Amino acid sequence: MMEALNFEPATAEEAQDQELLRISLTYWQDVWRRLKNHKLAMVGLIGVIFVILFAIFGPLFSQFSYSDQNLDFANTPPRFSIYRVADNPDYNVFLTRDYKLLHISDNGTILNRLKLDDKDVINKKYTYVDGDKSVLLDFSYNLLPGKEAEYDYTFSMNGAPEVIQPLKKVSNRLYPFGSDDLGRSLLVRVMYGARISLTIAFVASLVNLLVGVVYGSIAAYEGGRTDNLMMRFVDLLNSIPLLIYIILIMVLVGNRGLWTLTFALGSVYWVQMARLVRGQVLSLKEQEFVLAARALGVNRSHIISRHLVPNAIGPIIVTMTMMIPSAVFTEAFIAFIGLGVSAPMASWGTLANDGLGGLMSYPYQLFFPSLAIAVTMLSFNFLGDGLRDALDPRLRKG
Amino acid sequence: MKNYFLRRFIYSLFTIFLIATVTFFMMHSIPGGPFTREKPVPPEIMRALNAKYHLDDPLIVQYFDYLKGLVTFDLGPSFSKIGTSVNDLIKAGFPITAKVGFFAVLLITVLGVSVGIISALRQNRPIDYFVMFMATLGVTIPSFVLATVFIFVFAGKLGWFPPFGLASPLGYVGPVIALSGYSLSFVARLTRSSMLEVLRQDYIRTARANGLKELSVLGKHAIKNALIPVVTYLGPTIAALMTGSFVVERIFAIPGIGRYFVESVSNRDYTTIMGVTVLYAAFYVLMVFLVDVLYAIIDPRIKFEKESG
Amino acid sequence: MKKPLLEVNNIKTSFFSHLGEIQAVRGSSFILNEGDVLGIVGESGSGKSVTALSIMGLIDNPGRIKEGEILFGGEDLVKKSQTELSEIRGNEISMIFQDPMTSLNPVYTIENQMVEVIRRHNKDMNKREAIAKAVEMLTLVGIPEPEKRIKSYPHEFSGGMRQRVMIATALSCGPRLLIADEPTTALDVTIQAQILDLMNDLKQRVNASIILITHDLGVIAEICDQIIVMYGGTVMEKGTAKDIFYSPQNPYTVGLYQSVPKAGKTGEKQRLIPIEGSPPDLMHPPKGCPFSPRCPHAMKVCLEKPVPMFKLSETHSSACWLLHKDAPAVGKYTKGVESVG
Repeated sequence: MMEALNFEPATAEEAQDQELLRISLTYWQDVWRRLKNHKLAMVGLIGVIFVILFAIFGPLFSQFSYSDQNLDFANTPPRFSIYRVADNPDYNVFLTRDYKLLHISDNGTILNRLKLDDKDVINKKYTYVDGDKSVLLDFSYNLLPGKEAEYDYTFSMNGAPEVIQPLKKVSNRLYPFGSDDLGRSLLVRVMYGARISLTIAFVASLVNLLVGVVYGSIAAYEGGRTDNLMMRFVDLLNSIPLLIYIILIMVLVGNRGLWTLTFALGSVYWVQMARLVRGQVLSLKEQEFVLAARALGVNRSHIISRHLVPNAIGPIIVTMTMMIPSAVFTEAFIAFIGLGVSAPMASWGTLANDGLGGLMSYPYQLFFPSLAIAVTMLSFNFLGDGLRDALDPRLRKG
Repeated sequence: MKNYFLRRFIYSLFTIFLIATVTFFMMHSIPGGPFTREKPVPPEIMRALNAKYHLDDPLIVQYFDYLKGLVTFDLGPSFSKIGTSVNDLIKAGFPITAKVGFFAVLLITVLGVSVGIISALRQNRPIDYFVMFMATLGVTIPSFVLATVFIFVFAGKLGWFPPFGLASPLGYVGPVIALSGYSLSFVARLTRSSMLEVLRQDYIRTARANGLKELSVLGKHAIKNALIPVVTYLGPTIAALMTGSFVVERIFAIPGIGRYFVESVSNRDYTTIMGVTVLYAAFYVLMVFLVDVLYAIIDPRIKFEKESG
Repeated sequence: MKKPLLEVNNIKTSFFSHLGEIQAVRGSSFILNEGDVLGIVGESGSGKSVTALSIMGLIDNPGRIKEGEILFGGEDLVKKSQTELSEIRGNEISMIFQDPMTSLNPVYTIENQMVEVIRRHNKDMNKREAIAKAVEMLTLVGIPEPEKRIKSYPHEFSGGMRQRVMIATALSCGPRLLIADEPTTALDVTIQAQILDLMNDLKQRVNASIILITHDLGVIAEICDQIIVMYGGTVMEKGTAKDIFYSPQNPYTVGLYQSVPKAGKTGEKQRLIPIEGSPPDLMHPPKGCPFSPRCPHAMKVCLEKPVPMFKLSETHSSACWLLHKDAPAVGKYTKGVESVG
C-alpha cells in the first residue's frame, strides 16, 4: 500500500518553518547565554556580587564602626556556652578564656561584664559582682588528682546551689563573628576589610589594565624597533621577582596607606596584560578590517581604540577577572608580613595577621578573614574560568 | 644553539646588574638614614656611625663600593645585627631556605604534573572532579592560612607534627605543604588544561590515524607538548616559593633567609634588605635562565623564533 | 568487474553535548572499489569529514557511531576495538588531514615521527631499515635532499612540504586505502596544484584506493572515478564523475555547480548563483529532505518525508523526491526507480 505523497509545491512559509527556530544572537547575548549555562561561573558571579554588596552595604547595618572598641568584651567567640546562674532567664554568664565573666541574655546578647571582686588564685575560686549580685566561680576541679571531675568549673550565685552544666550554646548576637583582642566587632572589621581589600584590588587591577592595554597596543601597533625595545623592557620586568619590589616600594614610601599599596600593586603587575594585549593586537592588525580602516586613512589612535582593543576585549576581561583575586592575594600577603594598611584601618590581610597571634585560643579571629579571602578568590576564579569559556568558545572544554 | 644560550646568559648578568643598581638607588632614596630612630640619636654618634659604614661618602662612591662588594660576594655588615655581616646571615639562612624550597619544587613538579595528567586523561570523571576541587581550593587559600591551619589542626589538635622548627624530619611537612600549596594546585591545573589542549591538537589525531599505540600517543606525543607551558611556569613558581618563604618561615619559626628578610624590613636594616633582594633576584634570574635552557631543549621551535625576533 | 574494498552501510554518527545530540552523519552508504578514487563533496558541516573519521574509528568522545556497518576487506570496522583498529590504521588504512601546519608533532623530527610509524607496523624492521624506508618515501613524494631534510623539525618545512611529509608517512606502510580530508584546502593555490598532481601521480604508482574529501568540485573532477555529494549528514547523490558532472539529478548538486566559477568559460558571461539560506541545524535536523528549506523546487512531501535513494542507472542514484514517478516534471530531472535501503 502506498501512502499518498503530496507533490504540491511548498510555500515559502512552509520552507521557512523548517529553518527551525534558530535565534540569531549577538556576540554578547551569546556570551551571556553560555555564561548562564556554566554553573560554577554563576556561583562565582553570585559570590562576587555578594562580596561587593557585603563590602558596600554591610557596615551600614551595624551599630559599630570598624574602630569602636570595648575592652570588656574582648576576644568573645562567635558561639559560646552559657550558664544560667539565676532563676531569671536573662541572667546567664559566659566565661572567657581570660577569666572574664560576661552577662549574657537568653538569646545570646552580651549585656555587661561582671567585675572581678576577689581572686583566690590558690584555691582557684574567683568572685564576680554585678550590682547586688555576686557570682562565685570555682575551677578548683582542675586541681583534683587525676582531674576526676567531668567538668572544669562551676558557678554559684549568692550562695545558691552550684550550676554545673552549661545551659546551651548560643550565637554571639552582639558580635556575630566574635570580637578581637580590643573588643572590636570582627564582622564589621571583615566588612570594612572587604572595602579596603577590594578597593586596592579593583583600583590596582584597573591601573594594570590601563597601563597594560596602552603599552601593549602601542608596542604591537608600532611594531619594529619600538616594539622590540618596549618588549625588552617587559622581559626585563618579567625577570625580576616583582613581589620583592612591591615590598621595597612599601619600605621606600614608608607611609602605609591605602593608596601606597594600590600604587605599589598597580605599578608592577601590568606586564602580563601588556603581553596579552600585544599578542592580540599583533594578530588582529593583520586582519582585513584593520587593513581596510588603514586604507581608508583612519588615524592610528582611532584604529587602536575603535578596532583593535574592542576585538581583544574577551581575553582582556578574562585576565582582568583573574587579576583582581591575585591582587587580593598579594595585598593579603604584604599585609601579613607587616606592610599592610596601618591600624585602626584593616584589610583582610592585616586582620589575618592580627589573628595569627591568638591562633590556638581564638582560631575564629584568623578563620573569618581567611574565609573572606578564600570566598573572594574562589568566586573570581570561578567567574573567570566561566568567562574564558564563554568568551572564547574554541577553548571550551569537552 | 650555544650562541643563544650565551646571549641569554649575558642578558641574565645584565639583568642582575640592573636590579642591583635599582635596588641600591631605591634604598638610598629613603628619607632619613638607616640610623634614624624614633628617639633622636646624638649628632656626633650619628656622624661616627655614618663614617663607620661609609655613609658619608658621596653616593656615587658608595655605589661603586657596593658594586665592588657584589662582585667579590661581600654584601657588607648588617645594620641591625651588630657584629654580623649580611654574608653571615645568608650563609646561615640560605641552606635552610633552599632545602625547604627544594622539597617544595620536587613536590610541585612531580605531584603537580602527574596529578594534572591523570586528571586530564580522566576528564569529567570523579577523580578529575576531586583533583580539580582540591586544586581550586589550593589556589584560593593563601599560604599563611594554609600554614596556620596546618599548625592548628595537625600540630595542635592532632599532634602529628611538630608545630615549629625543622628539628625532626616531620617538621618539614608543614612548611613544604604551606609553601607549595598554591603552586602545586596551579601546576596541576595548568598541566591538566595544557594536556587537554594538546589532546585536541591535529598531530595527536595524526598519531592515532597512523595507528600508534595509545601509550605512545599519550606518553610520547602528548606529554612533551603539554609540558611546554608548565616549564615556562617554573620561573614564576620559584619566585612564588621565594616570596612564600617570607611568611612560611615566619609562621613555622624557621631560621631561613625569608625570615631575615621580613625582620630586616621591619628593622629597616638596609644592607640586609639590599643583600637579600639582590640575592633573591640573582637566584631568580638564574632560575629563569635555566628554565629558558630547558625550554629550548624541549621545544625546537623556540630557538628560531627568538633568534630571528 | 572491480572488487569492492570498502562498503559503508547506513552509518549514523552523533556527538552528544550537554545541549543535545548533534547528528553529524545520518545514514550514509557507499561502496569503494579496489583501485578507485572516490570523491566526497559537500559544504562544511555536511558530514563528510565525520564519515571519514568514522571509517578510521577516530570518533572521539563525546561522539560515537550509533549504527551501521563499515566493511573493509569483509570485516566490520565498527565492531573492532581500538587496539585492533590501531593495527589497521596507518597500515592498511591511512589518512591525511586538512592542515599540514598542525598535523605534525612540532617537538619531534620528521625522522622520529616517520620511523615510529614504520616500525609500528613493520615490527621486524630495525631502525636503519626504517630510516631508509622513510627516505625512500620522502623521495617518492618529491622532497629534495631527503637524507638531510629528514633530520628537520616540522617548523623548518613549508606547508606544501609538510603535506608531502604527511602523504609520505601515510603511504609508508603500503596502505590499501588512503583517506585524504581536504588535503589542499589550507595551501596556496599553486601548492594545491602541486599536491593534487602528486596525488594523481601516486594514484598510478601506489596500488591504493583513495577517498578524497573536498568542498572543491574542480579538485574532484580531475582525479575521481566515483563521486558522493553529501549534505546535512546524508548522501544526496552518488555516481561516476560523468554522471555527476554531466547529468546531475539533485537540486543540491546543481546548486553546488552554479555557485562555483568554471574554468575555460572566460568568453561568455558567467553568473554565479549562491545557494540561499544556511545548512541545517544538525541538532534538530529537518524531518524530510535536509535541503528542502533551501531548495528552489521544494514540494510539500520534501518537507515531511525522508527521501529514499532513487536509482537512475547502475552507477548513478540520487535522493530527491523530484525523481519519484508521480512528481511533476521539472527541468532536466528524470524519473528514477526507488531503491529500498
